[in-house]
Amino acid sequence: MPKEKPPALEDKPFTEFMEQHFVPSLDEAFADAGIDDMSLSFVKEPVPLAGASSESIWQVQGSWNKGTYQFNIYFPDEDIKGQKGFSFATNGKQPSIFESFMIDERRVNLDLMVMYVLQRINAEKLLVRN
Amino acid sequence: MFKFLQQVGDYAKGTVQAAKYIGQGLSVTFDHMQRRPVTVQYPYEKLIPSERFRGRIHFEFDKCISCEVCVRVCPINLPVVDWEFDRTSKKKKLNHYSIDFGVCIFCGNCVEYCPTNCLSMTEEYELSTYDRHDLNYDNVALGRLPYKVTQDPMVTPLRELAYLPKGVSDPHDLPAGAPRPGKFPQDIIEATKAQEDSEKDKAEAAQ
Repeated sequence: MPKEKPPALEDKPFTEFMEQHFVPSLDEAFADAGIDDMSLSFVKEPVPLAGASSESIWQVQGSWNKGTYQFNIYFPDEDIKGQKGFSFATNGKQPSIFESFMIDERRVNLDLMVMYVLQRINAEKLLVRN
Repeated sequence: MFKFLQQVGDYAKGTVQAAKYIGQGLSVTFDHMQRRPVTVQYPYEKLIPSERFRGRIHFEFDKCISCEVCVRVCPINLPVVDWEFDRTSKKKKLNHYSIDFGVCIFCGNCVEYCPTNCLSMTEEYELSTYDRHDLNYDNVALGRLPYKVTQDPMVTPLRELAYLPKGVSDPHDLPAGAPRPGKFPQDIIEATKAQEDSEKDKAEAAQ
């Protein structure tokens, strides 16, 4: 008899997946990349952009280097397979644009989400120098 | 006894010849009085680049899939795509991307072939630096918004000749909204659509 596969992590309820899997593995990935003081939180708050509605949406907030850099990953559909957004800001300022996140990716799983967050932060040349 | 007349005649001929050659030589100079002015007072006035102008290349990091097509179609394999294979997610992870504009010939092959359209041409052409290595743009520099002559408050943008109204050769003091002689692409599309519709109506009427 073939062994029954454990259900995929991604099929877990949204908040459980985010709190128990996504945030810890993202934290670990950032620690591997050499950022020690990364503080990540999974909260339901309004989007901090100018012109955004005051509706609260689930988001992962991260900041490091004593709050010099911040990023937010938004999940307006409360589903990792739904729409996702990203914003980046420095020195506690309000982020200026709401970027799309993983817009071209059909497959959405934990490893990919972590990889794309790291790639996006690396694009700002914040993980490795030239 | 009339030998001296020969000399006078030669001298007169030479004078006429010289006058003719001077006139011929200066004809180019005088011709310029008829030509249109092409001078632009550069740092204060700048020409607006045309629609297909190939300037500095813009790069969007998030769209890049590290396929390296840009490198393969480049005549000198110039773009540097630094990626690594991420074993856990089985995906290419892009670390850095750079193009050296001191070496780039702006042929636009990379822009043409990029499958995700993460490369694009801009109107920025003022790429002068004191050190040629400053022209090696990394992905942050490539992702910056391009400079535009029409958005610079210090610069008077001037239209090129093909974009001036018919019969006008001086781009200064043009009335706002003066149309250019040629049609815009959207006008051509509209005209062909109208023509196709009228032909269709005719064919239906004939049946």
